[in-house]
Amino acid sequence: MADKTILCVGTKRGLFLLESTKQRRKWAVKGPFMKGWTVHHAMIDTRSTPRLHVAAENFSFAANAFSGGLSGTQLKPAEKPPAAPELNPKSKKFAKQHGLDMTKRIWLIEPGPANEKKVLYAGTAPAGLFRSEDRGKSWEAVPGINQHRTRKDWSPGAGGQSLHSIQVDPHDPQRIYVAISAAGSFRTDDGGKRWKPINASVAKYVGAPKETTVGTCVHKLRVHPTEPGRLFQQNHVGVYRSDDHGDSWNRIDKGLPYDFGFGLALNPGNPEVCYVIPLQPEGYAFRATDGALSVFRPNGNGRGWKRLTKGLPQKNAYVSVLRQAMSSDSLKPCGIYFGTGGGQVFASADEGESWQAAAEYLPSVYSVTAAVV
Amino acid sequence: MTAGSPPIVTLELPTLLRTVAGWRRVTLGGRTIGEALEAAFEKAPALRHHLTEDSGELRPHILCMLNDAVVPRTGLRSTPLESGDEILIHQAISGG
Repeated sequence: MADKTILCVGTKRGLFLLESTKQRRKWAVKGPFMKGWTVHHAMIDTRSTPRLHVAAENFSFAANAFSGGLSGTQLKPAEKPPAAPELNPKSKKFAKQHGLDMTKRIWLIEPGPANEKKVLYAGTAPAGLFRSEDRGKSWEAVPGINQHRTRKDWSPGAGGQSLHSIQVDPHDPQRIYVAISAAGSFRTDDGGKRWKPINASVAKYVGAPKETTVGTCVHKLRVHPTEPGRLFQQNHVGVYRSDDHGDSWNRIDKGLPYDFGFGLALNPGNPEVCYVIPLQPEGYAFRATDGALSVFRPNGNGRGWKRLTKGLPQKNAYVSVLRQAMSSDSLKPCGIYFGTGGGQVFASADEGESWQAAAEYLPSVYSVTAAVV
Repeated sequence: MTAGSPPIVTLELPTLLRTVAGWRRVTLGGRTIGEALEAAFEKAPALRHHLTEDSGELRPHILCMLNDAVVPRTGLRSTPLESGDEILIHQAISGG
């Protein structure tokens, strides 16, 4: 019986595991694990015996996907890692001109369908999707998306050209969504053979080719776990919701102090809401709004957003929250979590109404995921 | 040592790669550094990815030492070994 809540916290310098009960009142910090490695993403796959998966890299020794038990001490690297593709010459030139990050890395690892317990997916930079059928020991490219006809129009962003979101539709194991910066969102309905851009009615970034079906800068895409067809995305330009598997999108950010942000979390028990942290984009600051660290969720029926601040610093908090650093758990009431560039991890056990610091003074937080085991 | 068998040498990895290999120091056979590296890759297949590029050359920010002397990158793999040699792999760290 599940009785523990574990947060996997990936940081600039190692992995930390934050443990609590199902009540989530106090958190114990364990780690660092993977010392010396930059951990871009870590998650616990709970589809069978819980297993920890970690996307890590080192400046000298390259990136890999590691996996192992929940102790965090026996993680093993993939023998055949996800091999991030090369940027095309046009994108390479653009990245060099603008000083963009071109490091090859693994951005995230996500579970496959519920009925294929050994299957995992990984996203890389430069953008690529990889599939493992042996719980992460070896990875194969998914050519349907990696060689997509629109790839020539995929632009690198400030964080590189990354495939940062992978979501298997909980209602249809053949339907998978991915999101790429700065290209947009894609969906397959046949298990990964053919992929369709799903960016209609999403604003393009400045300078994007007009005639392309991509050219949008999605920062994070999530599929609601219980409401069929419902998706949310935090974009460079706006927050969007779709009720038809991404075929169309409605912009829902009216009332937010900024439409820019990275992180996005959903509440499995309430498909009407999402959680975002607007960031000031001016001067590429990407920091919490006016020094007040706040989470926002919609009031519902288009009646604006509620600013959630109880327990969060409201003065001089000029920290950023990255796209992998916000998530939720599967409990009721739902837990919402996020980590900051300043090394804090904030946790709410009451759907965002109140917050506490589950950890402080960690290295800069790159990712936060939650598992109930 | 039987006739034809390669010299027995020691290979030591930096702490960071203990996570990859599961060990830090290993004894193995190799007539050259290239052969010793291949023997290490047999013991820990993921090491190949973390130490070498697709071309087979060492990644750029890695230094290889043989008995406390830096081994030039050119011709590194064909550098001959003798029994008791110690190969050290270092992470190149610079700056301040």
